Amino acid sequence: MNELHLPSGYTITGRWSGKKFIIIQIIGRGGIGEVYRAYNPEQKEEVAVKIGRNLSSMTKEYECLKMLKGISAVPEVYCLDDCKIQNKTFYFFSMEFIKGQNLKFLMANYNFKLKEALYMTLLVAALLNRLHSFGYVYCDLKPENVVYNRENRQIKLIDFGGIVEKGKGVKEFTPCFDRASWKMGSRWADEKYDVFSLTMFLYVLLNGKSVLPGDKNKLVTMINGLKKATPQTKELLKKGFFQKYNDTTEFFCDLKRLINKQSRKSVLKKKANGDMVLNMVFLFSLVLTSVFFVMALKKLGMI
Amino acid sequence: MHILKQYGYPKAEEVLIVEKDFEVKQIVLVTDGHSNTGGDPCAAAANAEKNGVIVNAIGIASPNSKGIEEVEQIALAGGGCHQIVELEELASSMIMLTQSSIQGTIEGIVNKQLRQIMGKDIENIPPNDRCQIIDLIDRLQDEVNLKVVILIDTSGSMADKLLVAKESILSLFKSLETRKGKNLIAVMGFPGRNGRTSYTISGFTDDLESLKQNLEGLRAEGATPTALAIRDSLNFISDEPKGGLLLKEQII
Ligand SMILES: Nc1ncnc2c1ncn2[C@@H]1O[C@H](COP(=O)(O)OP(=O)(O)OP(=O)(O)O)[C@@H](O)[C@H]1O
Repeated sequence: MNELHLPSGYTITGRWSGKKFIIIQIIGRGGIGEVYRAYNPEQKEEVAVKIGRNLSSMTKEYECLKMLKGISAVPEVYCLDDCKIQNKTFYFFSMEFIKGQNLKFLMANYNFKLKEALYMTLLVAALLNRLHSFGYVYCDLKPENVVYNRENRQIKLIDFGGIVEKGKGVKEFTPCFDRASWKMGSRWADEKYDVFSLTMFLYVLLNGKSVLPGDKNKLVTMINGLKKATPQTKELLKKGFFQKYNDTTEFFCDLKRLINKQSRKSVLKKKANGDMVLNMVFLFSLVLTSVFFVMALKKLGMI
Repeated sequence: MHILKQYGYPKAEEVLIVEKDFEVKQIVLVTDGHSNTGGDPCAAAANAEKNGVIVNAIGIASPNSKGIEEVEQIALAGGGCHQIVELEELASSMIMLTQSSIQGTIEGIVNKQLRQIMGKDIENIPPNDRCQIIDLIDRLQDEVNLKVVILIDTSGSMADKLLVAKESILSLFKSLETRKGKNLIAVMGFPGRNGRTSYTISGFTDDLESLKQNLEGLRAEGATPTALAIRDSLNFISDEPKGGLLLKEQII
């Protein structure tokens, strides 16, 4: 509605702080505004600047990020300010520029293996658990909002515009990840709301793309149709969708158990493979010695 | 420190208030084409705004939708917002527009009061002092009563979209339900039958079950008299006697 399209090199100057940010390029566009990669000449560092027309949602997202400062998976925020562009007032805040790619982007170019999808989900579960313990529900979990950095193998959540206190109504959601759109519950924000989205997150990673919401039956068909999932994974998805987990901790523990089991299994497999190699070596040497034996006997003129 | 304290008002909630029986009134127009009969929809929307009713407009994009840009003009005239969306985004769009109209209304009221007290509105208060006022706006937004008419184009071309439209209205209800304030939702369709411009699909209600039941009456056919339909919903939203909750209009 109010797209800015700031060109690279454009400088925004904060009305109150006087701080300057030189635009490098746009990195995303969403419901409430645009996100740019920018350079702060004063601090000599690259930052991300989120800018939009809505005073209240920009302020609230900034305040929320400020409050969650210290959680490593949350981007650090720096400054909140306004600026005038083409005679209109825009509101913005600057934050840590996060390296890496969001999972939706990754998904388009890469097929997640079961183990990887489970591991990603575990990382996000731990993070949501942390938010919940502060009394908040994230509400808008989806692959787009999770950024993975290959270098340090860390994930970060971005877009805190939808976060609300437990017991409030959900403000922002994406139908595929919203339990109410699936007729699986209300839009009151509780931990279970996030657990549903988290389950869908795992499903979408395994499925390779998101889906349009339907009803209970569709959920069951979806799970059954997943080729990559083991029976235990399907069980976890079912429990997650049907809200059998009371909170993220329960989901987290189940998932962790599943991952442990899976990796133990693959260790066993490796061991079995190792045994096979040993057997082969043993057999081979057996054949070799017998050949030698036969040859020796021949030489001795016994055959 | 609290910004209003500097002006001798220790508590923001004592000076920034919304009258008890105030309600935000809005019409959310949903269409997939342009008005082709019955006058100028923008004039009708402007008239609604003059009467304290915001008009939002959603255009559903589809290969055969013509003149859908009209929704922008309608929303502009009606003091509301517009969006052109894919069918799957209809629910999110309805929710977004409804919520932002509530927010806009409350912000307007609060800004007027701030100007009286401080001589400036929220935009001209330093960013780090805005926080408390925004919290208050948030709370008022949650508590204010809401009356909304979903005015839905049921002309022939909408036939294959009505199922999703129905689900979207129920989805809107689920979001509004988490508000503290009272929500009354009505659904009107246009064109009406037998020469009428519009018809009531569901009268104002705050009950999910009766809304669900009434939405079974959503059917499609005919031309698109957007202007007359906006006029009708304005009359409907204004005439409704206070307190009359489950007033069920006859379904034509
Ligand atoms: N701190 C950051 N560092 C790097 N990239 C970021 C950062 N914040 C956001 N982005 C990028 O910008 C995109 C849009 O950001 P974000 O989701 O916050 O916008 P939004 O307007 O709230 O969108 P939505 O409509 O999804 O809520 C993201 O997908 C991400 O790729």
